[in-house]
Amino acid sequence: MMMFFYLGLECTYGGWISSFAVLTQVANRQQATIYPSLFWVLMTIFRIGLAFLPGSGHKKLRIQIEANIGSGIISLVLIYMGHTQLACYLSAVMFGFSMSTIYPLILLFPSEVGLHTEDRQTSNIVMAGVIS
Amino acid sequence: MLTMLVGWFMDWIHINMLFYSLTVFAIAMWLLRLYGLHLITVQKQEMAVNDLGMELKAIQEEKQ
Repeated sequence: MMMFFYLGLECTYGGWISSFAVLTQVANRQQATIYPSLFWVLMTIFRIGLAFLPGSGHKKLRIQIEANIGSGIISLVLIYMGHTQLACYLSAVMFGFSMSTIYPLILLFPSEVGLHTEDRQTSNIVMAGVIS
Repeated sequence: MLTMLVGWFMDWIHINMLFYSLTVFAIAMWLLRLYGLHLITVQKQEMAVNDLGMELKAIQEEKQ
């Protein structure tokens, strides 16, 4: 279920942020492509960078999920304050960071907490993401 | 599936449903992680109790 919601989060942001920018009139169709590009590029950079950061995967997962909640709330506050363009840029950076290593960490989660997982169970986790 | 659902929400309810949905999904992940940890703790406790029971049984059999 975590994988289901995570991939929902990732694909929803990456897929709809450009439409959001166009519909809220902060960018035209050409300019709006910067937000998903920024998001995916930063996500790749943070994914590489965080791999070298010390600390347990368990702790990193908790921090990243909490950062996800924070990113959503900060973006909403900025939108209601009238800073929609800033919200688009900042959310791309914040979500780029906070979603970067969640996918591998969710796959790692069962073994991190001492559960033995079989191939079939791991493929079920991946399938949940695919359905999302 | 969720992406499509959010698209409908943005269309039918309000454009800001994008960020509301993202926040709700993140909260759902946070709660599921806590629930997962709770289940694992319960499972480990049950396994520990079972192990203790087996040890006790073995000791009692030895005594008899």
